[in-house]
Amino acid sequence: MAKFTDINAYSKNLAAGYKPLPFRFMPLDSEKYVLTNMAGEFVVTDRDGLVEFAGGKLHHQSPAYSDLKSKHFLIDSDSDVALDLLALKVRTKLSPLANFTGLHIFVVTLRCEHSCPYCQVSRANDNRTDFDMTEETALRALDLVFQSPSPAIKIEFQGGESLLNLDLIELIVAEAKRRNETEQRELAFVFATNLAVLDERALEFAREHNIFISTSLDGPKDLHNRNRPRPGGDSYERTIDGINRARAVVGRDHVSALMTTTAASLDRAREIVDEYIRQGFRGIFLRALSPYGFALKTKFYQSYGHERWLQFYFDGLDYIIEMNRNGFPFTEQYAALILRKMLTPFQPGYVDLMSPSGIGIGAVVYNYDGDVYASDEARMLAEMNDKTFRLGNVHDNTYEEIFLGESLLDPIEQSFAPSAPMCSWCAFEPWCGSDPVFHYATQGDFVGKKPLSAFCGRNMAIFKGLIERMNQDPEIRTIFENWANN
Amino acid sequence: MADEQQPDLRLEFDESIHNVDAIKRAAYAMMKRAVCNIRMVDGVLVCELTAASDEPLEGLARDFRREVLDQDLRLSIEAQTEPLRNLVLGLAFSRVGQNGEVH
Ligand code: SF4
Repeated sequence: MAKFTDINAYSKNLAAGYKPLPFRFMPLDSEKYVLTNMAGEFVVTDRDGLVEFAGGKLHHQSPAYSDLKSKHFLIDSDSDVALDLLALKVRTKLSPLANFTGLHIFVVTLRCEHSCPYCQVSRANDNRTDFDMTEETALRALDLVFQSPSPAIKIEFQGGESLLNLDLIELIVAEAKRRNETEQRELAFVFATNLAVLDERALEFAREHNIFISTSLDGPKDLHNRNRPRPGGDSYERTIDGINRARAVVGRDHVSALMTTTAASLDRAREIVDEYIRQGFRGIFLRALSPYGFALKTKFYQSYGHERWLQFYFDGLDYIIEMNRNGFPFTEQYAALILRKMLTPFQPGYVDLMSPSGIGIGAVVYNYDGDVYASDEARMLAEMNDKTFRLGNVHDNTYEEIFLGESLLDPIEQSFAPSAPMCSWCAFEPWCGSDPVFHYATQGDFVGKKPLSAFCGRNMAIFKGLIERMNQDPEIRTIFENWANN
Repeated sequence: MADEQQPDLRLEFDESIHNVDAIKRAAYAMMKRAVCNIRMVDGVLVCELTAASDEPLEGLARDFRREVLDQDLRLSIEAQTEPLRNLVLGLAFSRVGQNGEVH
């Protein structure tokens, strides 16, 4: 174990100058560099500024000096509490780790009446119940849910189409609430549903139990229906109708939508944003297509590289920024997550951008057959016959075997970004994740070669793009601060 | 077995000025653009680069040199700030009890 030198040893040597605190840097463009400290605070400077600061030559009356000092990039003789404050910020960023696992995903059925070509979990025939979770499996999974130390527990019902197994959902909600009378956790439920089969019974149940509804909306009618074929070709109409009915019953803030990006979406970022506005949403999550399940099998994934996706993303982002400038508040939610990391002391628990990896820590999946997976993507990989991230089965394994076993701890430990090549010196590491499932799926190992990784390329470009935008324009900085703090 | 292919670029770095780890890191960071073979010849670190695409070689050489300089600086910052990193981590974790409570 490392031995720590007494804090007083440092202050004695500082009378004549300052000491840089640990920091990393990365080029932003051909002239500017981004510097980040251990808590993820950042400054932008040119190379001369960087070299001057690193070499201890910065003048203590320069504006850069006060900026760097206030953001914990240096200590000098009158920074008594600087190290304590920095340590407090580091601790705040790491504290969500102690409260694992917050999100528990129950795959209550694989049945679905849609036949989306990019669907990331296998579909099964609509009326066969072999792909439904049983009561016994659900109750055993609930035993595990309440063994998580997390004070806040969210149970999300997924499919297939989750509402095709409403009987089981009703049982799980009732039983979870009963157990929570003694557990006293902050308990919440989510229906992940395409809304096509939403009926009055499901809606009334959602209202009664304050259940959130998360649906899929891919963009304008033609795009959505093309992405999501179903008998009747009316996925869009059913989704919009379902959104309106659900809002009327459970309230606007309880209904959210997620989009999936396909090759057909790539030229239509602005139209997709417009559709979300037309439907009264206050934000959109511009998502990348994931490399799992049918997405990979149908070659959709290979049909566009991350460079093309980035054009799509920034086109949508700039359109949204412009809208905000014109007084219409609307949020790009992926940027908002990252900005929260960049501009506030808090750490959103978004699984893909967590290090140590959020698999099993941020979320865990109980499949219909009782198998437990480290993440939703891990389950998708299993649908492609690769069960590397299967942690065990609710019927055969204990909580300790599932959450402290090698299947979970090995990928988390190996992929830990501060010790991964390139991430270990990357200035963006405090905001980034490690995503061992993605790297395993695309490169065959948990760490991945980051210079070749689409995950790295995509996120690095977004980190830089966000910093460039707020650096160039104080109005964008204000918009971003609002996103980060809401 | 001898490598038949001739490299596109040959860059030299004086070992007394450049840290070999900085060159290795630069080669890693730039693996998408070039394969790099590193050799030591009489106190000179020789990097033979084979470009992965037909990008102009001047740009590749300039960016590789810049990456080596950046990596050199990173290594010296890391060495210089390592004790403080340990101290901050020590302070951060010392107040978190076994149950994750902050003292
Ligand atoms: S994945 Fe890429 S952007 Fe993220 S920390 Fe690692 S090197 Fe940096």
